[in-house]
Amino acid sequence: MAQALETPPGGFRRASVVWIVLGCAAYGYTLGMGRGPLMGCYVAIKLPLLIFLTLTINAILNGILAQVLGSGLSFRQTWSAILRSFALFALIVGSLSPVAAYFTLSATGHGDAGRAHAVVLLVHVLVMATAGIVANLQLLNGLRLLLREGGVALQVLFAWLLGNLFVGAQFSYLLRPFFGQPNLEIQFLRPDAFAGNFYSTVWIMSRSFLGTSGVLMALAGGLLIFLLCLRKYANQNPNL
Amino acid sequence: MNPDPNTPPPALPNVPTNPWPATTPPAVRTIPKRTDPFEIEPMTEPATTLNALAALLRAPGRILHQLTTEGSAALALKLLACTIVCLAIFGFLLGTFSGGVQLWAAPAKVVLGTLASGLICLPSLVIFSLLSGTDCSIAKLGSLLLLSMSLVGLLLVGFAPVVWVFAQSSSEVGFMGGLGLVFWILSCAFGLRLLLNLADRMGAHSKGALLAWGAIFMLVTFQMTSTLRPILGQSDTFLPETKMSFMEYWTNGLEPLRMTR
Repeated sequence: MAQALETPPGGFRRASVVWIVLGCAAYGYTLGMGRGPLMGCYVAIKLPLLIFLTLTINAILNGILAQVLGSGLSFRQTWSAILRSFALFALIVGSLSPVAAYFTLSATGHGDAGRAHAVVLLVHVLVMATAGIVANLQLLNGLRLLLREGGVALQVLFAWLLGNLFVGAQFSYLLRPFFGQPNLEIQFLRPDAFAGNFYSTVWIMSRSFLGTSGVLMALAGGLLIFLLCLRKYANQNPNL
Repeated sequence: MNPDPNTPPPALPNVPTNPWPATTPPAVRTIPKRTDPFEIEPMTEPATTLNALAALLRAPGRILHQLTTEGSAALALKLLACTIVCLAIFGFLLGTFSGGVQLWAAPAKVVLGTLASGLICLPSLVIFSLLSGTDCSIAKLGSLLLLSMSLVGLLLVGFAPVVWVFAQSSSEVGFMGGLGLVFWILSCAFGLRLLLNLADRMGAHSKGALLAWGAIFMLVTFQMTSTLRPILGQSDTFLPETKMSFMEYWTNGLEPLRMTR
């Protein structure tokens, strides 16, 4: 990883793009196939699109953050690093797509559709979380080796992750459906795709479950935990 | 029979010691580690606009040195122009949320508000930097402020595509206002970090006074959101006819604009 980041060869980025397209398309198909082959094809297009849109929108920001945080990485190296990380993610989910397909085929087509949907959803969440963690740990190792400074590498990765997750969540909302609710019709995009945003929807849904004060308390708790972790990290890295 | 110990051993045929030398993989060349990106030292490249922006991100100490040497007015003007363009881009993309008049009004207000905040806070920066122990002229402090604001502008350009994505898909003014505010605070945090580090290299012995100045600067910019309202949402007039504190504006003033573009 570190070698590829330091002097990314010409074919390296092209290969990464191909891996993302193939891996995510294969996995995307298994995401949607529970609702039928058409939905599978739709998601096979949308999953790579989600990654490329996130990468493009955050390209400038990621490059600026890498430089401001003192990594010394150029815009091109930043792009290559994140592309490589997504390529690894795509390879992992692509390789696990037969497993996911098996679970999908086993769970759907009989019994309670809602329950089957929940099981399939859980399997996909586990697969994607595993792939995401592995890809980011690899990226962190590469950055540590390249920058020789664990603290800076962690800061850069954290900044990239935060930005990519923030924008990725919104694009996943705009490009919905991916799993497809069993009671809704199969569509490439929802008719109201560009109305509303991920965070407002999460806020409204959370408020209906927990109430406004409950959501605010949960947010305050999350913020407190984050600040405590930050303080611990800052104590360990006095040069932060 | 023992051989004569003085007799040299027979010459070995000229065979390479290892006919299959191991090919070691090329070692990873790590990114050269700079001693200190905030060190105030001369720029190694010509001070073009692009080089200045690159130095602002990677080695801001060099550009501060360049700004405080003779004939630096041209570079200062270039940086100021870049800052204005960056702020205008961010403002324009904020303006796409409402469209219409806001396409030009929002960038104008963002640029005006930021530059006015910088000017209003410059005298207090001089005093607070003296309190922190920084030993430098007003011109140098002005350069420091310009550098920090340029960095804020650059970061806002980085956030601008994200703002555009949300501006096209959201309808709540409150959400867009909060998002813009978060990006503004994050960018200003990096700007303040730059200012603190450079002040440290200029002899500041404590950061408390400059941190307090940073909080004052933030408060001034927050108040600008009310003074120049609305930056998001529609209004009949370019500037408001009534005065309002930013707290009041954020809690009550946004209500009539909620759910509208």
